[in-house]
Amino acid sequence: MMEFFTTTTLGIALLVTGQALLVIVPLFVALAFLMYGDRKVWAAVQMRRGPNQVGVFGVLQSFADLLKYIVKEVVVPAGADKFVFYLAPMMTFVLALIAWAVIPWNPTWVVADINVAVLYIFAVSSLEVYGVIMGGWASNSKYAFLGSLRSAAQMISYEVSIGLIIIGVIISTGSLNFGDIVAAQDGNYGLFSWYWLPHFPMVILFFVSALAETNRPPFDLPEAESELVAGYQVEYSSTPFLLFMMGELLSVVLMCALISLLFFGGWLSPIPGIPDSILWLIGKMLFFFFMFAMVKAITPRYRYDQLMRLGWKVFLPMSLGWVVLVAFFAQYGAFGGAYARWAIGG
Amino acid sequence: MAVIAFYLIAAVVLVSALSVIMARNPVHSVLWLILAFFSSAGLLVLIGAEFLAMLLVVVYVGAVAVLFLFVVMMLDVDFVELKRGTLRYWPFAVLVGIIFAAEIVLASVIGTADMETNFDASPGAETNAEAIGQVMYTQYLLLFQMAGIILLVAMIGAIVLTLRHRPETKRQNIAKQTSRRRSDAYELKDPTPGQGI
Amino acid sequence: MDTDLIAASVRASSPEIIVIIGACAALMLSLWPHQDQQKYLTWLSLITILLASAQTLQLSPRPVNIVETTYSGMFVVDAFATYFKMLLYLGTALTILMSGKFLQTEEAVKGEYYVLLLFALAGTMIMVSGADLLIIYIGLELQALSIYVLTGFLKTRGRSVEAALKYVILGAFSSGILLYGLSLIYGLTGSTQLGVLNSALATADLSEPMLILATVFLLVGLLFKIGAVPFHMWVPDIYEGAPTPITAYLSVASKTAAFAVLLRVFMGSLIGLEPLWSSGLAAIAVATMALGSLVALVQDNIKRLLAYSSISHVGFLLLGIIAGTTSGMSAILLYLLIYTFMTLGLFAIVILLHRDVRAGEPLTLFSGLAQSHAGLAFMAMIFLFSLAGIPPTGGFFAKFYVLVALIDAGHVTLAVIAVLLSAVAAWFYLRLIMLIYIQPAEPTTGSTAAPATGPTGHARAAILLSAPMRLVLLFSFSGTVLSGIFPAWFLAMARQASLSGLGN
Repeated sequence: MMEFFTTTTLGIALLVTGQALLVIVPLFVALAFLMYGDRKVWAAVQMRRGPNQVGVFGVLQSFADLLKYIVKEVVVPAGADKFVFYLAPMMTFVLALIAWAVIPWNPTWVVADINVAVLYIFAVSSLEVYGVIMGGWASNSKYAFLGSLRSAAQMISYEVSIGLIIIGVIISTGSLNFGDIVAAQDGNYGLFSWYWLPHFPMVILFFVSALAETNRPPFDLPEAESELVAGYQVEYSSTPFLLFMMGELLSVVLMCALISLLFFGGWLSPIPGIPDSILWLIGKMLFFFFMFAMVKAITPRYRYDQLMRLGWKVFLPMSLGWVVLVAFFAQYGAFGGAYARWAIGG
Repeated sequence: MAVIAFYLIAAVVLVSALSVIMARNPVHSVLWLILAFFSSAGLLVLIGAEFLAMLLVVVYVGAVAVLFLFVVMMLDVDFVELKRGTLRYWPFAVLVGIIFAAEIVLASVIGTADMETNFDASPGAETNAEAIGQVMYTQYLLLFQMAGIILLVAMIGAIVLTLRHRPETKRQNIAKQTSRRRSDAYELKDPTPGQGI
Repeated sequence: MDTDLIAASVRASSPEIIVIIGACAALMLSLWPHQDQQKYLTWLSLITILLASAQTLQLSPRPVNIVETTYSGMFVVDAFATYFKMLLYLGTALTILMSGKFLQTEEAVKGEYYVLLLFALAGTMIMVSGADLLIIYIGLELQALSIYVLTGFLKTRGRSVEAALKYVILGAFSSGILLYGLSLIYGLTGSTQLGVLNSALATADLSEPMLILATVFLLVGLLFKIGAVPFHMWVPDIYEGAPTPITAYLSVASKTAAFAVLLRVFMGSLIGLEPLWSSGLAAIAVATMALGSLVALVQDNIKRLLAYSSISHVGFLLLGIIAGTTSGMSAILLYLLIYTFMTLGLFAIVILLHRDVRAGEPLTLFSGLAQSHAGLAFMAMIFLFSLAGIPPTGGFFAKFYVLVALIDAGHVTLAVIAVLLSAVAAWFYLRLIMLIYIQPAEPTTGSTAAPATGPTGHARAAILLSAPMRLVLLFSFSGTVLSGIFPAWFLAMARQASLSGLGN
């Protein structure tokens, strides 16, 4: 039986499909509750109740929303480029989903254990801008177009610093594989062995860049409702809108997973003696999702020139300087080799 | 399986490349171009050069094509009108086309005999990324550094040609803003009634 | 490749590194707002070039026939590269010296100008030292990219921007062709290194169509860069539109480096393919000389005239390649040196006479120069005599040695044609001399200029010879004259350099 799944073409295809479903289905279910949690946190900060009608404390609110989005009519604006108009939300959604293929849940649970996993994530997240640009252009609307232009510049700008920060981690590990990166963080001191300590300032930079990369507040300029109504989403309704929304939330959760894996030891337990488990990873992701929700609730939106200034004049030089510094530390084994935990070579 | 994948992806590359020049709408052209880039990355994965494939996606699809799209969307050029003028040059285009087609034929008829069939994407190393890393700063050090300098010059050139200092533009000086003290902004006066300051 | 090898490679390329560091330092300096910024930048650039030339001389191989190959065979230090590098330093330094005044008149003083010139110098240095088709291409691109920007440096002037755009498009096109040729060569031989190519092509079947195609593409790409007919159409427009010092640089340093590549590739590694390209190149050389000389006769803009003049000189230089011998090669090397002197000198005078961009640079700028500035007029006359190839100036010997090499190699017909076409070319240089000495100064420049700006006549007295300009004139004038008086000494230098160039 096992042989069928590891040797024949059909078997491998079925196996991969099964594994993918095993990741996607729990992810979707979790997504519904995360969306609810996001709204509840937001509401709590603003001293509102938030969703509380559907189900106990409103926990089923997201499912009600889902039903509403699916059964409503899709409105395509006049003069819109229909093909691109439909393609855009699908692209956002699919890209947000395929990135999960390389995220490991524990040393062996990963759909695609490829050598260049970090680069793959980076490549996929650099593509996510297309959904936004295409959606904004195809809508044939000034607001939507302005939103997509902003978003293109914004996502490219912050990708640069995200890439450089990740390079720092890669230099310390000597591998582009998530399994190796997490394994390199395994040490005798529990949570103090993780990369957040040696790479400390970059953790904050990464978090902020992740906010910008996923168009979350305070960097949600593409959809700034006060000036652009809802930016590139303004003409979208029903299922396409749902796809946009889910795609965005999925990439937020992906960023949480990335922070947990790159800087906070993934599935490793923070206290020596307690076994490592997938639950640690999920717990860390939930914590960072909470942070995302809190930032959304408590920060005012940046102005566009401030956003660009922060990206190019603050984050880029800092992360670039950090890469140089880390390369130096790693080469000369500074701080007891904290920066040189090479998985291979070295 | 790999052969099927190859033909599938290669077909997508060819079709999308053809569509780039056939599409009436320039934005569609760029979208097809992106598909062509993306599928080429797929071909690179098939020969085992996964590092190059990812870089192709990050650099060309994720950055270069975004800017293409950016520019093309902002340009309000009637490309149908523009293309009409280019029809005058068809003899030249046909000539170039014939030359290139002849070369492909020549290459495939003459050149395939001693062509290397076993391609090693990562010679002397476990992964593609390692193989590149081993030669980039040693064997190809000069090329790599010079390529970097070319990029620097391109950056300087772009800034020199486009940056214009407009004195009337208002700029935010954050250092100035934060170093402002209360005493810089106002002073307390005690005006006597009926006299003013 | 271990650390020692890398260290040796870095040492071999230290002149390039000095120039690049100097460029980066100039970039930093250009951000520092100061009223004397331009002066500092000029000095910084000159000191950089001086340091680099000292380093080049220090690295220069002794005895001259030693060839040091580094960077795993991509980069060579030999007498050929040293000679060309010194020539490039000279051309770039004189360009920098004459730029200061021009930028002030045009109100386009910006530090990046010097930065880009230094980067262009680094690119040309890489080109002449490149022993690998890839590195030659990279050097070419670095040089070209810097020059594209410098051509469009006067961004408020339509002509400058137009020239830059044309240059970018045509330059990219020619680079594409060159790259295509390179990739075909790589496909045929499996290597891009010139040394390997030489042995691989020694036994090649010359009737193979791919090989012919590759050679043609490679040749066309390089001929484009030197502006030989029929790939010359970009030259006049770009020479006219570019800032005048950049025009001088284009006609001297860019061409010198491209010739170095042409010599190294075609007389070094592809010498085995000579039957494929020699007859075609002869036809191109004759066509280039003929077109350059004949079209120059009807030009009324000094920069366009010099553009066509440089085209005809390129034709003459190509004849040296056709001779295919060491003496032909050393004749080219000598020619390039003398050409650098006389062209830069003449361009310096054009810059001195240049007043107002709206008037352009009509030939009448020169009229009556002898009355107002006898010294300048005399210098201009010598430069023009030299360009025309009239003894006893350097230009005569430059042409003379090419002709000697040509006749020695048995191409008597070509030599006769070259002499006849030189006589045609001499006519338009003489026309300029006539303007200088016989024509009285006109109050205005004819119909093109607005009367109010009248650039020549009245304002003529105001020509101010700044120290850098004096230096340029001194260098170029003494170079032109000395090479005419002691041609044998200069030739010996060129011969030494060319011996090592043919060696690899």
